Formats: sequence, structure tokens, C-alpha cells
Amino acid sequence: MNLRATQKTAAMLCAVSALLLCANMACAATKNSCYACHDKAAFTQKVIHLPVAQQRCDQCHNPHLARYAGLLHKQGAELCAGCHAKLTKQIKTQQYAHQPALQGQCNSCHNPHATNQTHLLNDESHTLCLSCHDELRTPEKFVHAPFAQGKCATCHDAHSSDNPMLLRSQANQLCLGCHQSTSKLSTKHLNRDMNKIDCLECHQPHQADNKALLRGIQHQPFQQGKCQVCHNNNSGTSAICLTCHPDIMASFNQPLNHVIPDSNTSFCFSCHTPHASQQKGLLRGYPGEACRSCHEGKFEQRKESLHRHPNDNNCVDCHQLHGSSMPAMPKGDRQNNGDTACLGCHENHSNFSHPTGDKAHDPRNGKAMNCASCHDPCNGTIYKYNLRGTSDKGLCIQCHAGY
Amino acid sequence: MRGIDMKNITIRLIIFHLCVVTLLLAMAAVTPVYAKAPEWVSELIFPAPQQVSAPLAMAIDSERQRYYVVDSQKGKLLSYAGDGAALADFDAAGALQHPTDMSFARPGKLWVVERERNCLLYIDMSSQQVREFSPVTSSGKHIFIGHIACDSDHRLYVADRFSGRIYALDDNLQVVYAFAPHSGGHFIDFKIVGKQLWALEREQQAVYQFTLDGKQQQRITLDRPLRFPYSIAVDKTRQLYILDRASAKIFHFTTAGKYVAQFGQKGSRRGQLNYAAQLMFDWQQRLCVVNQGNDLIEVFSQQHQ
Repeated sequence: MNLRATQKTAAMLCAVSALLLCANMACAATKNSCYACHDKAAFTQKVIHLPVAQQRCDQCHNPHLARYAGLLHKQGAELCAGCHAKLTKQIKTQQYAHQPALQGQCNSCHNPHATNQTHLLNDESHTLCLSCHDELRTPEKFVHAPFAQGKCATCHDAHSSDNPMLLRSQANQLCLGCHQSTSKLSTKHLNRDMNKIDCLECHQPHQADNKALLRGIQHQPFQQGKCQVCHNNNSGTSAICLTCHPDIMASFNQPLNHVIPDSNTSFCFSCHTPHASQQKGLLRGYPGEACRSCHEGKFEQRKESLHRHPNDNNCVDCHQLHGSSMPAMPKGDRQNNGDTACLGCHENHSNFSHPTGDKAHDPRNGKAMNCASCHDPCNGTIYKYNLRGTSDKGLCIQCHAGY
Repeated sequence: MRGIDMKNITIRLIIFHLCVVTLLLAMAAVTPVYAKAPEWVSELIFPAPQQVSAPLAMAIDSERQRYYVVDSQKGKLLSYAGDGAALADFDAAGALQHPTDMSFARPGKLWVVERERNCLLYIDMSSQQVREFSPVTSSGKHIFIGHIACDSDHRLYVADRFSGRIYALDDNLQVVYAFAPHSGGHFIDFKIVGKQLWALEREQQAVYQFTLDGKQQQRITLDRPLRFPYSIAVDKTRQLYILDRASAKIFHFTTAGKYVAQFGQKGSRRGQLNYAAQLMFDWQQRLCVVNQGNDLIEVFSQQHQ
């Protein structure tokens, strides 16, 4: 028995040794043979990827044959995840992810071999970021120092973050990291607690045409420096806005409306900022952002749809924002059968498509048909033209059973 | 030897069977009771097509077994018999422009929310007299009137959309009790069942149970996230039914907030929901849904499987 065991152990040791020898030989072959064809200069720049520096090309490539282009062992981020597992996990689990990172397009920013940029970036970080975010290219009068210096990573994490806009921490904390909360700063902000102020509500983080990087569209009293018009107003939270905009309340007195309860501030502030914004009507954030804070599910559902309406996040294009008598609060009134929002862009569609209005009643519920009877532009669908069923038959037979 | 082996095998078989039975019992204990929940089927729809436009709310007269529907488009209140047959319509001599809710006060008297002017109308059905009121809070702020309801003592309860609170008003429309979600948030809908007020809070997706004098009895956290909770109904066994307007579904929870079942899907056909606006139980414990987008009231009844 002992002799047999010794023989078995010896055989196993031989096998392992043989394998290690083969691996070493392969490695040596890699070290020696790749540069015979591939110009070594392309792999010897300032910053070199560790496997390249160690001449371990075989860590990513198979020298003989592979399933993926470039003789790679795996495709895209799957290959990178082999070593960068922690980062991959972070991208997948954090709340916000940079689109290329989420889609596994690591090479869109990084060079897998060697570059002259830190973090193996394909170009200078500023140039690289602006190659996609070209809306920031237009120069404006005042520029935030980190942006001017091309240090995007000072504020943003290029892969993922738990903060919106991939910020490294909560917006105001990030700002106060450099702009210390001094008495001068506090005085400028009516002695408010700086930790509770949303700096980005009024200030542009990159560049602006206004001093102090103030956003372009400003509330008149704010622009004129007449803070006391609102801040010394004792008429109550919601009433502050209505003091100057009394007619607006009528637009809320509709069966369906956007009166959003808020006992601490004016309900107007749910969608509008009282100081400065980039959006017409002093709306908060980019188009649809104010809507998203309550209708998150709608945006998520839409994201999953195969066919989506152009500019579907720009809710303002189709919906009444204060109040309406119609479900879903579309633009226009009931006389237009809820189609006003659609006809604004598709004005000729009614000339050649299915009759609507009093010419056609929907047999499913007895109502006059409108565009939304067949299309679902708000949610998007899996069918072309945002149809609610297949365009060949599936949709039509719901009403035309004998079709 | 053979006898001993057989004994061992028998003992092992018994132990194995006991393990299997214990495992099955344990699985049965942890398996949710979803499958046993009764199915809700559409039993009745009314009114006929084109009779109402985008109904927003309804009221039920359990004694006379009648349904009342608020047509905010045409500015009318319409009454229907228990089988959905149309009875009458009423516009309070033109005083109703955009009514959004109604509730019965004393016999023959009616409270109606008039959205156009953000006021309450007190309507005497027999004399056709209409009186208009604009209630304010204790601090003098106007109430943006949402849903209303009356208790068995004819006291009026008004939901304030500005503050997200519910106020109990006395005969002079002065606030006597305020119902507020103490953990933050705002009430979107409420129902009075017996001597209890049940209120639905949207942001934190919780249901609050109060006594009618404003004392909070419990806060129930719903154990399943909803997209856009919009209305609540409570049956006589205190089971909670929550309308999720965005997903066009009705969710059933126990009084402890445990999910039991759900039904409904978005659409225009019978049994489907399209921007549903309100839930309410009728005298037969049938669940009435104000199916606003389909211009219908749809009455669902339970069918035990």
C-alpha cells in the first residue's frame, strides 16, 4: 500500500512539473516571439499596462487562435474584469454608471497596452471627456478652475458613483471641499447653513456667461438682488409665489393637477427653482428631471422599451404641467380629443391614417378614438411607431375581429 | 446477519421518510399563501358609453344601494342603481363646473368639491339650494381641497393637497382635528371605515390608521414597493387594497402591510384599468374602481378558487 501511494504521488509531481515547464516555455515563447512581428516601440510608452510590462501578452491574448478579435481570451470588459474585479463590481452595483463603463467599452477611454497618459488613457482626460460631452466645448466667459485645467476627475468619477452626475460626493460637500464655508460665503447666501444649500441649483459647475458661474435664466428679484421680495415675505410658503403670480393658481384649479404637498416650502419649488436655472420657466435640472423625481417608474419603464418616441424625456413637449381635465394631462383641451400634443408635430397624420374623434369609437371602451388608442409614445413599446400591438394584424384585430 | 441488515434498512427508511415529511411541512410553512387568495373578476360596468367623461370619484349610498359618479368634465353628478342602471343626473342648477369629489352629509344633503373655484358646495337636494364655502386651516391658510368624506355623525373630513394633511371640520367648517403622517410625507387618499380613518401616504408608501379624533393607532409599512400609489380602500375585515395608478394594478395587503395578491392590467377592455382614480367598497363588499381613462365605473367581486 505504501509503495503504491509513493508511486502515485511521484506520478502526480511529475505531471505538475511537466505542466509548469510547458507554461514556462509558453511564457518564454511569448516574451521572445511577440515583438518579432509587433513593433516593441508601440508598447514602451510612459505608462505601460502591467501584463505588457511583464511581457505577459498571453494573459489577454492567445498566440495561436481565439474566439474573439485580436486573439483575445474574452471580449471587452469581461477580459478586464479578470484582474479589475473590484472595479467591475463597483460599476455594476453603484447607482450611477458611466455609459461606456456600464457597456463594457473600456477601450473607448483606455489603451490596453501603453500610452503617455496616466491611467492608460487614450488622450488627455479633458480632451477625452469632451470628445463625447461636446456640449461643454463652447467657450463661455467664466470657467470653473478644475474644468479650465482639464481636471474632470477632481469632481467626477469616470466609472461609477452613488451620486448623480457621477460626482465623487454629494454636490454641496464637493463644492465646500474647495470653497471653504467662510463668513463671506455665508453672508452672500443670507447666512444659510451652507451644508444645506444645493450649490448646483444656482451655479454652473463648468462654465457660464455670468459672474460666479450663475446659471443663465434667473428669477427677476434674484437677478436684481432683491432677495427681500421673497425672503421677508410673511404671507406663507405657497402664497409667496402667488403674490406676484396670482393668475398661475387658476391653472392648478383643474380636476387633475400638480399641486404637490410640501408643508415646508412652496409647492412650486417641487418643479421650479426660485433663483436660477438653465431651463426656461426656471425648471429644475435638465428636461424631465423635475418630473422624474416623482415619476421615476415611468422613466425606468421607458428605458426598457424597444421603440421610443424622440425626445421622450422632454415631458414638457406633450404634457400640461400645472393642471388638466384629461388623464395624463396632455396638452390641449378635450375638444381636440387629447390629440393636440401629437398634432403639433404630426399635423398631416390624420389625412392618411385611421379615423379618430367622433368618426370612430373604440369598441373596447366606447370612447372616441385618439392617437393614444393605438400608440403609446410616453412609455414606448416593443412595436414600431410606438404601436400598442404588431402593425400587421395584432393591433387591428383588437377592434376588427373579422379582419 | 440478514435479519440485522433488514432492521437497519427499515430504520433508515423510516428516518428518511420522517426527514422528507419534515422538509415538506417546513416548505409549506414558509410558502406564501398567494395561491389561496380569491380572484377578483369584473362583475359590473357602468355607465353606458359616452354618458360620463373621465369620472374622477364616486360615492356610495349603502342604505339605498345606489352609486353616485362625479363627472368633472360635464360638471354633473350621476346616480345609478345597484345593477348599474342610470337613474338621474344633477348639475346643481349650473353651480357645478369641475366637481372632483362628493360625500353624503345628513340625509338629502351633499358635500361636493368644486375644483374650478377650490371650494366646497353644500347642496340641499330637496330644495336645490347650493351654498359655497372655502375652508381654511387653523392658521388661516387656504386648503387646496382633495378628497372628502363624512363619518356616521355627519362630520366632514377634508384632505388638504397643500399640506398633505387631513382635517376634520365642525359644522362651522373650523378645523377640530388634524391627521398628519408623523414620520413625514403626505396623505394622498383616505377612507373612513366605521370609527377609523385610514390614510394612504405616498412617498414612504405607508398606511396610517387613526381614530376619528385624530389619534394615530398604527403606521403600516407596505412590504411591496408600488410605482404610484393613488387610492386606498379597506374592507370590513380590515384588509387593505391599494390602487397603483401607474402600473394599473390593485394590490391587496393584510392589516400588517403584508402583500397578499394583486390584480389588474393596463388597457381599455373590460377588467383592465386605464388611469384608475379611486377605490371604494360597496354594500356587498364588492370593490368599485373609478376607471377614469376608460370613462367607467368597474365593480369587481371576489371569486374563491
